[in-house]
Amino acid sequence: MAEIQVLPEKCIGCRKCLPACPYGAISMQGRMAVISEACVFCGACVPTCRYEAIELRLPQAVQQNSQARGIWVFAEFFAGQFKPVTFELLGEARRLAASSGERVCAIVLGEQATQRSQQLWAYGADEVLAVPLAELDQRDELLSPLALAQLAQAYQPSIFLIGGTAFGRSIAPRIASRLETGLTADCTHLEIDAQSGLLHQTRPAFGGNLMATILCRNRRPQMATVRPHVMQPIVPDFSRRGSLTFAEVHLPSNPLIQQLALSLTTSETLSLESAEVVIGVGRGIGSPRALPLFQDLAQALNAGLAASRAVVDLGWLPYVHQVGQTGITIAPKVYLAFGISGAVQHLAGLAEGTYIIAVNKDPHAPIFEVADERVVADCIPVAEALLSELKIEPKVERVP
Amino acid sequence: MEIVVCVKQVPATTRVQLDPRTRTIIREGVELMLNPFDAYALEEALRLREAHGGTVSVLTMGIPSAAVMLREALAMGADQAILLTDRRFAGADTLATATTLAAAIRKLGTVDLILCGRQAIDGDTAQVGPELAEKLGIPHTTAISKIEQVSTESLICQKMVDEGYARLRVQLPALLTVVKEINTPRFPTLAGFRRAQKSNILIWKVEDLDVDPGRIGLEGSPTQVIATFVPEHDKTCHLVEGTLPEIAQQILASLQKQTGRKQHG
Repeated sequence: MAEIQVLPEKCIGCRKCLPACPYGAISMQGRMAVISEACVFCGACVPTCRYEAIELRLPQAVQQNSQARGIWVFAEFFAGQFKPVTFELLGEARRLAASSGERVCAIVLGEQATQRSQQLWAYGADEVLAVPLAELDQRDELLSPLALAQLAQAYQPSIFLIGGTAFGRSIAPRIASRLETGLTADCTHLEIDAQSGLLHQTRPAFGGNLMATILCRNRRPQMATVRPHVMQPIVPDFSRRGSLTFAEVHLPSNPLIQQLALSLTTSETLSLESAEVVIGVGRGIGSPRALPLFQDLAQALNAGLAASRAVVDLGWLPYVHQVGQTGITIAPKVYLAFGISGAVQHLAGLAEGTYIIAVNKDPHAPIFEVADERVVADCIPVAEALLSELKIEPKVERVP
Repeated sequence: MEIVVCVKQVPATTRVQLDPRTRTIIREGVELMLNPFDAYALEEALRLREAHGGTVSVLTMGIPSAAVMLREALAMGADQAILLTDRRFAGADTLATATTLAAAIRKLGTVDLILCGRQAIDGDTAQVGPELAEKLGIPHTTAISKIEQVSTESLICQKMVDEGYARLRVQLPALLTVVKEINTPRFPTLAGFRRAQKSNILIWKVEDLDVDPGRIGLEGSPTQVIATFVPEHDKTCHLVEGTLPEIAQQILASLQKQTGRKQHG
């Protein structure tokens, strides 16, 4: 097992490692740092010691699974089309393939999705592996991961990327568990190491305060989920041709999960997790009576509407809008924040790299520390000015 | 109805701030708390027991002091608490955690429903629930916002999907992960705390579980953290000034530049 120790001959008692531990596992005993049982061997303390007094020994790598080849992308399909994150992941897979020389394979489940699968070539797939079964047309949290795990067992890919949608985040761990392999959630950066050939998976940890780079050395596939908008699709080339292979899987005949109904949100509450632009509202907008203004603005900008926890707790907006630690995580290209103070818990729900434009009348609001652009002003006149620039008449009467 | 609630003790991150000089996390003392999403799972379990009878067991893997969190769960009304604590469990990634929890749940015997919070706020992976369900060979579904009609065979629940809500019938036994919308957790009562002080917390080590030691803890974890670093926040915050129309024009110009598409109007 792993071991960590502080070398008494090297530790000078400078205390520099103490605040580096996210688990508070390091304390001082006399003039020496001591690591307690709370340690999870994350290694955050090791580089903070200038005297190389902290020694972390990880279990030795066993053998590499050298047979596994190919970069797989799961192509999630809903309501007649592939989720855009599929194309983003194919773009990233192409970039990785350029450095490793492997082939990019898109995995398609369901009869309907299979019919549309040739467009995946245009976005970078060399191969499409499809299971054209009607049972897989609905996003089933039991059958889909079972099918995908069986495919991975049969074809042995080296890397398997899955979009960080609600469905992807549900099935990816189920596949990883069945395959007894590693899975890294919400990666923001992927890179194949030239020397080892291993996939370096970087993700935010502790609400984005720290970034961690993670490896899956000995098991295959190396699995990762990636949020929408994090990676870039390639420019599609519809003359590009690849292969299409039909694969067989064995599924149980009695469904254990049955979808009874699906209620889709209307356009005014555009899916927050896939929106390119998100408008956030905090308590600083003053009153729930101001909300229609921001709903109009969201609609005009084809943006999602997010809320801080305070706004949801006050009952101004339902929970589906809550972004942050106890809400959802979003990764829009631009976050336009109105009256949001910028608590760490709220910012934890925003993916790294989001362009933040913040409007707040408090010039010292913490959100300005992370924002790219700041507008120090009342929220309502700014929102009204935006609507008027967009030549949209506010539909509702508002209080000043 | 036999319900197991999986809970995790997490750092209370409300005070997480970065030291601007050393670029490390400033943490005042060691504050740990029950993962907020897990509190909703526990509350839902207690409500189901009140409506349908049965027992609620809370299960955690953690350091010995995680017993404090389990006492709180007992004070809220859980019937029994199990703490998996052993140095050999430490450093587990989500797969090794799921393997360990699965072994403990098998030891508990018949279970109808397993409830977990959608994710823990420290790791944010939302992986342990589905991984655990697979290890137990039972169905799972995530982000549940409402549990309706419960029978001995199945339950009907509402879940959040990217596009809205879905209503599902799930055969039992099953594992559900829940979101905040599902309920408002009760506070532990004084009488509850008194009862909790008298209750026994079961403490299980590696030897108490039927589990391959090579599949748990750091050694049984296929993923390894090889580096951690503080993200660069060297962006400068540009001040947008001018009259209201000028401010609006600048914001729209930025939106267009960042998204690569023109905002209609």
